[in-house]
Amino acid sequence: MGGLAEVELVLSMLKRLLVGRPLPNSEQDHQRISKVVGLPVFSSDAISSTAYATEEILFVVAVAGSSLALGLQTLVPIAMAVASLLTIVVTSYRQTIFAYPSGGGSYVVSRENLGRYPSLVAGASLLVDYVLTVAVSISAGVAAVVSIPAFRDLADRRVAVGLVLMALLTVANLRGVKESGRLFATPTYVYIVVVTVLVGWGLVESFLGDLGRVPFDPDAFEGTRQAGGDLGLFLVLKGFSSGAVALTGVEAISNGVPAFRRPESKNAATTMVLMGGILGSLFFGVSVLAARLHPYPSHDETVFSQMGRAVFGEGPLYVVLQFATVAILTLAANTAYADFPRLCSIIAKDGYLPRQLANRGDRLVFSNGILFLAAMAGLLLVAFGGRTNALIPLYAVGVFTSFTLSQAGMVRHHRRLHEDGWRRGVAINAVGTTATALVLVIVAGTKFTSGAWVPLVVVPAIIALFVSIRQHYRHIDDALAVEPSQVRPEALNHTVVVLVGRVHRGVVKALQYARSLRPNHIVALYVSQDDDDGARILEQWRSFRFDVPLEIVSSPYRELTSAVESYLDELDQRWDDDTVTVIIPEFVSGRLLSPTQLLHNQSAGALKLHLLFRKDTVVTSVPFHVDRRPPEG
Amino acid sequence: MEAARSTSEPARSTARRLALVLLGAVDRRMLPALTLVPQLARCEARALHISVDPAAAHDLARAWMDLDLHWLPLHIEEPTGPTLAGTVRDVVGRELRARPGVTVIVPEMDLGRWWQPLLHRSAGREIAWHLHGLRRVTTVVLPVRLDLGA
Repeated sequence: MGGLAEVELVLSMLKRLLVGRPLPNSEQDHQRISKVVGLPVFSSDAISSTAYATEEILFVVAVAGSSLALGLQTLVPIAMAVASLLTIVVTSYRQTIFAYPSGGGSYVVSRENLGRYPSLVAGASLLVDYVLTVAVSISAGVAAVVSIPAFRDLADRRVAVGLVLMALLTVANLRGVKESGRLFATPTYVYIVVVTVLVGWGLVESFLGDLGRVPFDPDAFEGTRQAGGDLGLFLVLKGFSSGAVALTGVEAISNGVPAFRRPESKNAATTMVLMGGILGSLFFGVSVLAARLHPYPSHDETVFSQMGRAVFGEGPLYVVLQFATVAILTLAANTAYADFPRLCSIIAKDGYLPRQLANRGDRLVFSNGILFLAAMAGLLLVAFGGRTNALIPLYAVGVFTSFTLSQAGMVRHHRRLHEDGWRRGVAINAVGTTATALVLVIVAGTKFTSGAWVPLVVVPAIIALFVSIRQHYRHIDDALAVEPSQVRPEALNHTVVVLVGRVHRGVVKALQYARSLRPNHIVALYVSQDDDDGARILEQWRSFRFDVPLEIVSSPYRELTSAVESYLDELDQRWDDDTVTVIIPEFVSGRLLSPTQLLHNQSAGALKLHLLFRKDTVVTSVPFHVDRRPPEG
Repeated sequence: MEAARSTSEPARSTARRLALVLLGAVDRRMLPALTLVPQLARCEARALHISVDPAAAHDLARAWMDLDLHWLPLHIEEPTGPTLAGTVRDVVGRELRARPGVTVIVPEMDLGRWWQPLLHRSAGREIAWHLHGLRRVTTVVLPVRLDLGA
């Protein structure tokens, strides 16, 4: 539309360049996946948390007023507690998989079993959780990169590196990265193998060989190094809360049951158990290894990297470990890129989020959801300086809120439907509900001041937003409701104003179009710069003998928009119009971005945009196609 | 006069110009269009719905029959591409082969609030933009002001 249209065209071309051509709906297929492929596709988020969960425990128990030695002593008991919690959660979610073969995210399970507000709490918590998954995974991935000695100079630019990674991930998702098995499988399996080797080799060397402790660098250590003393219960629980982030992403398989090959639920449940086994073993193994090797929490080098260098040296295996860590963390962020827009779409279809989030874009992905997620996660990354441990306290509240609601919903589900073995199901999910609710209380209580208050404030705010959006849509639906008696065409007092810049063929065509509308009044309007200018156009108008009166309004500064608007106000007074149609003759040249088109249509575009918001005013463009080629013959 | 010449237009058939009213749903947004259409001289008129959701299309067709709008036949088209605007452009292109021109009337809700684009997709403007530049096509964006009060 006018000059703005040219800008839109450039943006549209850039968009095509960046995200590719539109895809037909037929390409929206759902490839069924096997357990071998399903494991990396749905577990990269959960398994990747082994890269930072142990370190996060250490950041609490070895930094916050205690000593490194004391912290390391509590590492294994805390890891055991987290692994036990993982067992409970995995067992509970197996029930969800069988109960919801079409996919049972916390929002859906809560909505169907607990009602409106619990489902909104689950939905808001999950949305916050997905944003944090991206921010935490990207910042942990960057930490793995800058831990490599060759890349340590990038440490000061970790936010910028994180934003670049996030931008790449966003573009890839906007282009429509499918949850391709091969894309996910290789890095995830490489990570599982290399971490298994790290733990196995490291423990064997530590117990039977001569592998000693990680060399201590007092300048890099962020805490106190002392012996003796004791660690309070509060700090132990706080450390446990940090370790509990290892459970993030565990529910992903229960959301994606339909993606598995038949029998879907059985395959998904087996994959869930496999994932739980791998995640639990790796997390526990890494924690035991850390207790042996005595790495120290540091912003310069991750605990993982310190142990990798101690076990593998700085050779190829160490580099593989670091890059596999970066890769799996990036995939974990990618999981959120798939899940966040999908959840937004479900919530939007229920009317609690803007409808734009419910629709797929022209690449068959939920583009608006992807962009919103990227913006929110980017803001978090910048606000927290790209430091994982600063983001972690915000993380677990949302995760355990959605776990608790989902499990509570399952208890209700079993009690409501009385399916075979429902009593056993109630027992399993009741244990899950109690355990995750207890962890939620611990996380919120121990980390309240260090950041857990943020989701406790943000989640209710999001719910308030959900409710107000829903109310708005209801209000609009009521306002748009139409009765049969209202649809009979009524006589309309209609005036058409044809805007004239100067007399040319476009104006002739616009006048013809204006007559075809059969309005009550037609006037042509010219906005003049001065008296001479007005007299000149009037003379020209008369010479063409148009049967439409030309009215001239003066605007010494050639301010088109306000002059036209004042004129329309005056016209309303004159004829008490029901509707005024403003016709703008517009040049359309054969060439894209022709300078003529830009020059002619700039002010028309601005005027149109302005008039679109004027009551009872219709704006119509009558295009006039011009061709600069010389006439033939 | 502008030193330019209009490019030749295809041979005209006896078919009349078509006025196409785009409809997403049967609601108040279509009322101004229903008033405008009878005023268009020498025009055949038709309502057009692009069926992205078969259930919604079914409801719309039922509501249309209930309102007894026989003078404005409703056509429901399957999407021909991933975007609504692209489908409308295809339909308009098809009609242009046999007609001297097409006027596309796009009802557009206007709440007069800055946050409107955040909650309501402006499909009308997107369609108008896609049709902009098509020869023998006139697009009328018909704003329908809804007063939501304070």
